[in-house]
Amino acid sequence: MMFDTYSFLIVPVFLVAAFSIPVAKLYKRKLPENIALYASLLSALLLAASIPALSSAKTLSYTIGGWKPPYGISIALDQMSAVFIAVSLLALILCIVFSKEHLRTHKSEYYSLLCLFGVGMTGIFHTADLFNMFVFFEILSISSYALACYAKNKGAFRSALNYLMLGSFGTSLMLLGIALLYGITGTLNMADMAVKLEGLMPTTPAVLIAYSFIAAGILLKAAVVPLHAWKPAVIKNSMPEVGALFATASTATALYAFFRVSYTVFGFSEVALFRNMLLVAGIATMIVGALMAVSQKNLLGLLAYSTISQTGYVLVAFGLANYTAGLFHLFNVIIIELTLFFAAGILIRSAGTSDIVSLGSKKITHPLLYWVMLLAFLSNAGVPLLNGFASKWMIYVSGAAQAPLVALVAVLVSAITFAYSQKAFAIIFSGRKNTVNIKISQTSRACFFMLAGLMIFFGVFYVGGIYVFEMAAESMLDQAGFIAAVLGW
Amino acid sequence: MIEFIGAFLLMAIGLVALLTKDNLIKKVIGLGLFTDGIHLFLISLGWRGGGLAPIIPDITFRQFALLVDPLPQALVLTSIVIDLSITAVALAIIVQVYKYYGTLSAKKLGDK
Repeated sequence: MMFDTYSFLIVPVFLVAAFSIPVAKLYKRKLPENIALYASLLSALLLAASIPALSSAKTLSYTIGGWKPPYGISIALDQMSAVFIAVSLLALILCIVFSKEHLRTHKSEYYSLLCLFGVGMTGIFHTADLFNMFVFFEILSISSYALACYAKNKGAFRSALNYLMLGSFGTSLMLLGIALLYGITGTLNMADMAVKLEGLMPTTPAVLIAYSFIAAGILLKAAVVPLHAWKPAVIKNSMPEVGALFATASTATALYAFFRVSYTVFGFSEVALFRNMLLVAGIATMIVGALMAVSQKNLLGLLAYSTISQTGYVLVAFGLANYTAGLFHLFNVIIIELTLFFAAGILIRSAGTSDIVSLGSKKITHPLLYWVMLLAFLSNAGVPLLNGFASKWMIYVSGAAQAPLVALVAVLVSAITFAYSQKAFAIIFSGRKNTVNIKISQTSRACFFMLAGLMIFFGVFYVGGIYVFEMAAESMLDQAGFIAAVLGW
Repeated sequence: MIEFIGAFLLMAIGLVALLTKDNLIKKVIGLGLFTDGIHLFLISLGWRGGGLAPIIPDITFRQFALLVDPLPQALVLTSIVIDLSITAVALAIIVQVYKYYGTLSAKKLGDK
């Protein structure tokens, strides 16, 4: 088939876009944002071109420069990475659209950095080589550090510096883990390493030390408790559009890398200890995120902690071995948080404050914003007939069957989520004086309608939509299939 | 063995600097030292006494076993470039922090 491997062009497309933007700016002031938008739309098309081939062959692979797999760098795309790419591209496209509509200055560097973010993100989803994954992680991180500085208040620089110190220490740990693994196995190709590790695992404990270095580096990026402290500070101080990207796309990328390393390279899917550790980390993340969200005075801080808490649910679902529910919940969280962050962005720009109480002292009478935020907050708390409920329900059910205590905690955290969401929502829309003038362009309206539509669709008809996540979960656990496809067996 | 001890010593020095030093520039230096320790570790993995450069047409079959592993050097080269750009971004942010807060002390920065 012709279009099989077109999705591998996504990374070069973003790279070319990122470096052509500073030049394009010299010709036309509005060109940068259009280049970024069209590059991401083109990437979505390229991904779509690979879908037919993916539905027949589970994993597509490609070797750069024709060097045979264990020696050259392999690129692989399976159904799991396709789902992650689709979701993260959606976040990136919406981020570019909302920045285009609502940022008054046309900063070309900003769009260039967004494209670089796209390079790192899609690179991690495509690569089948551990060191390559590290390099793309660094590209993602460096563009994130720069994007985190974009708000013009001075707090942004402080939190960005904090993020940089922690983040690059995390990626250094990852490099150390990869170096140890290379020393032990003599290979960097994920499939080849998986084959070699299978024999080494019981006899060489150093392998587990290497794994824990890599996992610590990745989980720091995913903001799993206790490695979460940098994230709310960064999101609180950066622009809401950038915050949306950090809350959704970079969490999804880090979780993808974590699952890829844990399941495909190390084959931990059947290890009980690993599942229990996921459960513990997930429950801690869930509770700490929700409790910290309750005490937040800043709307963006509340959303940031809410994201962290929802990431905990994803880990819990994986710990309960309900992988479909985990991936489905991750998708739902991304849709919900995107809606909330973009709506909050418009509110904060119009009202000039991100403090919940000061937002409440102003009269906000925009019906679209009101309904969209209500819907997203309800879905976040897990109210039936909305997508947040559908995936949480699946987690409750498998929790009740395997570990009732976990299900109980999940329900309790959901109740806390409901409480802080409704409190924030009620305060924000309670103002009766000082009307805020809110303008939302047609494009943004369409985006909000699409997000709301997705929330309702996956809440009501999730039986149809869940098929995609079932396939993704299946391909994530199919270690043998991945190895065979990448090594060309 | 000595090179591995040296590598981990370098990492430890970097880690101590990163965690205990108050000055932001010194923290960045610590971060650099930590990464350099990892680089040294990677390079030592590929080291072989009396080895040959792995350029295939120049060697006879007998020398084949003497070739060094070229991959760690390629990895370290990539990683050095990444480290350079992280240091550059870190220093750029520190310049901005100094401009707005007027201090390079992490402790004073935390109090403000």
